[in-house]
Amino acid sequence: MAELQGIVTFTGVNQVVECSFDLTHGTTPSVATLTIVPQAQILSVTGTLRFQFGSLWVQFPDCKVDTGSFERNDSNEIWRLSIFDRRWRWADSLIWGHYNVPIDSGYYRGHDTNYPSEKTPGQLAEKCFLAMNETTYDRSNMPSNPRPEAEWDYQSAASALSDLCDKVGCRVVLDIDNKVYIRRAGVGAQLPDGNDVLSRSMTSTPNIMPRLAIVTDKIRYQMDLLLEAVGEDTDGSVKPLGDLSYAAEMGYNATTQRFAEIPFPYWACFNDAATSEAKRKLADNTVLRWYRVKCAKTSPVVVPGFCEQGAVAVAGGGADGSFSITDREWLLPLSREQVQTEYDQDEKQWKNKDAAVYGVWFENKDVRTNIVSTLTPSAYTTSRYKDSFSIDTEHGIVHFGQPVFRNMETAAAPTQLTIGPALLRLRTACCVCYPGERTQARYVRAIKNYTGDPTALHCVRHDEITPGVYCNYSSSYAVQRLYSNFAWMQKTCDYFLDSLKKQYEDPKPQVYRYMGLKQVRLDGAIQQVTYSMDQGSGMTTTVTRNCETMDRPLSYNERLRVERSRSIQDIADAQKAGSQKRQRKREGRQ
Amino acid sequence: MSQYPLLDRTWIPFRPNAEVPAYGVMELNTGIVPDSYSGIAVAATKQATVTSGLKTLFINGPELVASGKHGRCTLGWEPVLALYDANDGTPAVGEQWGVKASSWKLGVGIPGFEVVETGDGGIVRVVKSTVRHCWGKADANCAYNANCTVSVWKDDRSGDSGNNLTTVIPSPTMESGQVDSGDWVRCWKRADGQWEMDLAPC
Repeated sequence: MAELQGIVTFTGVNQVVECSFDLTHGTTPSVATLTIVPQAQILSVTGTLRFQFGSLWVQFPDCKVDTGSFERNDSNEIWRLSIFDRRWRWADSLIWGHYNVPIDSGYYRGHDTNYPSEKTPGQLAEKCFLAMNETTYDRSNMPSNPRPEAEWDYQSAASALSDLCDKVGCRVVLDIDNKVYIRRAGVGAQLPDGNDVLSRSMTSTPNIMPRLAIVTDKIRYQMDLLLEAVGEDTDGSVKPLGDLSYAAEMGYNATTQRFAEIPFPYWACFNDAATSEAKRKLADNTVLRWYRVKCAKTSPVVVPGFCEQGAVAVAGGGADGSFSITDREWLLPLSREQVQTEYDQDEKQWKNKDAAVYGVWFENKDVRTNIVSTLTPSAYTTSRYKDSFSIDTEHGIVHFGQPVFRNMETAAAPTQLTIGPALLRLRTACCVCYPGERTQARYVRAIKNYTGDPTALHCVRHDEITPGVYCNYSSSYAVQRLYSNFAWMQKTCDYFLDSLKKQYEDPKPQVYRYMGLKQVRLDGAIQQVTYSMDQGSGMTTTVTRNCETMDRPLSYNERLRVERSRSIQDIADAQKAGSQKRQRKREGRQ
Repeated sequence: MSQYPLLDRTWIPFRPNAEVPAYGVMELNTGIVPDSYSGIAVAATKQATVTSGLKTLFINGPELVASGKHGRCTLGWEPVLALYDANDGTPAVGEQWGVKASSWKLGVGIPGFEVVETGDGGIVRVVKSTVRHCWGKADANCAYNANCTVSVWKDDRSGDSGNNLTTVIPSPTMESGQVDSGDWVRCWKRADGQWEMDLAPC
């Protein structure tokens, strides 16, 4: 039987003497280095690189010659060159768009049925493939739960795809069937054994598995926060109305919560002292216009579900998992949005509801009753304050555009208006500090049934996972029922925990070298296949599992970093060129 | 129309010399005095001393205002609520109701305000109505081109309102000695503020 001979061919090359081709993961093209019988020129820039060994063959169509790689002999003939596999076409692809923009609730802006913003990783990958003009791909192995934020600003689609896959623990794989697959990193077939194995290299690196945990973004709690009327005092401090130095002068009685003088218009009551003008301005700007979140030992804020946030136990919580906060600072800054979402008909998308104020206040109509008589959660729909207000989130103060007050007369049909501070609640979200610590709570999802070293801990932050909690209140504002996106969040955390766990599992890296051509398919574990043909040893195939061969110029992670930095550099260069152009224009006009 | 009419209304700060109920009708006491510090004009008000539609009147806002304290009031140029005397009946749209002496409430048949919404429960919505004509009786024989005094009567001529026009001159078209004591006359207010008889006697 004649000895089998390996043959390598490439379109336009007369005869290949030696060849080495590392087929690897990623979106950057793998490079084949060919030593050829010297010839004057290469007849084709693109073509098919084919390896044949007896009846076995693999081929890579649409490869491209790297014309800058030509090495010539004394007769100016080409004798060595490099060839990129078909991924060279991906380099110039552009992609733009912003998807999975997280909002407080952990949902995503843009649930518009026409232009949905929420995308699964698979859908995002499809967008990348479309931009890369890639039609033969399989993304079925991508996870469906994570919602990685993708903010693409006219950048390389190949780089975007690499980033996306990295975020969800996957790899881009160009397989020997010329199809592109998205594979789970570390998951794949075993290396084939047989008589054709020339050498085996296996190393085992047992590792100590620490306690693994995923730490999410800060938890947002939606609450109906009680507000108290405050004003700015002459020393710049903000105090409840009764504590203001000019409370008596403006006729406010803190005990009865009533104004003996009518503040409107102009706060004419300040007319007896040389300092009146300053006080009048302060009162006009702040009294009955500023309402601050009330939170003190005598009136604590109950945070619903605070003690149900995963691995971190909070002592002192209520039976329903709620926790009482007694210092306003622990709630700040407030959010301007609620955790709950609504469909915005104008913007055609789902979004967090805006923060809202509701309660007992006087509508300034000729009807002398307040908008509602009692402050209860059910008043939210009927007594929302619809005029303008803003929230000083850093200090927890609501600023109203108009004075807001209530009629203190309690008769069913009052005959007159007696002005007093309104009874209001602010429905909004905020993050909450652990009691005594000035650190806002995050959700911690730890690996289950951990029995290893209790001191070893490896936490990974995932700020794109945004937990949110809200509740139903009883009429006395006791927490009745909790709602959260924890179930979705836990699934997502578990996915990342799974990927994290793989880092500590012994990957058992393997390198097999086969005689001749071995048709081994790449997957998430088999990371590299090297086809070599030289005159000394003929054709061999080297396959690595859970590792890359040491003689690679760049590892997968290094290649990823290069892709990212190149993308950033592209953007930086474009910005620099743009600013230079604008500068030239300005100079031209002058 | 504003969403919050009370906020958008033109209010005048005032300080009464006695407790004024919500929607009470007042007249000027010592004047409208600018505050020495802020320059804000504050009306010093009091309860009406005479039944008259000829004075500048103020209507308190929806709040009770204690004596010497500050409140807010309007002149009634836009529809506002005011107290009325239920003993005079129920105000009907289009009727004239005006201020009564020693009362915070409007009485029927007195010029000053036109009812724009049927009254209910002692409160009625009115709008200021400028008094340009009034009926009265000459207190004495009236000489040609001489000042004379006319007792202003209620619009329904049911009685003397208690208010007199003291400087009324007969119209130039009227003859001397045409108006005798007790004659009914109609008076009108000229642009220069001078009251003049233009219809007499009847």
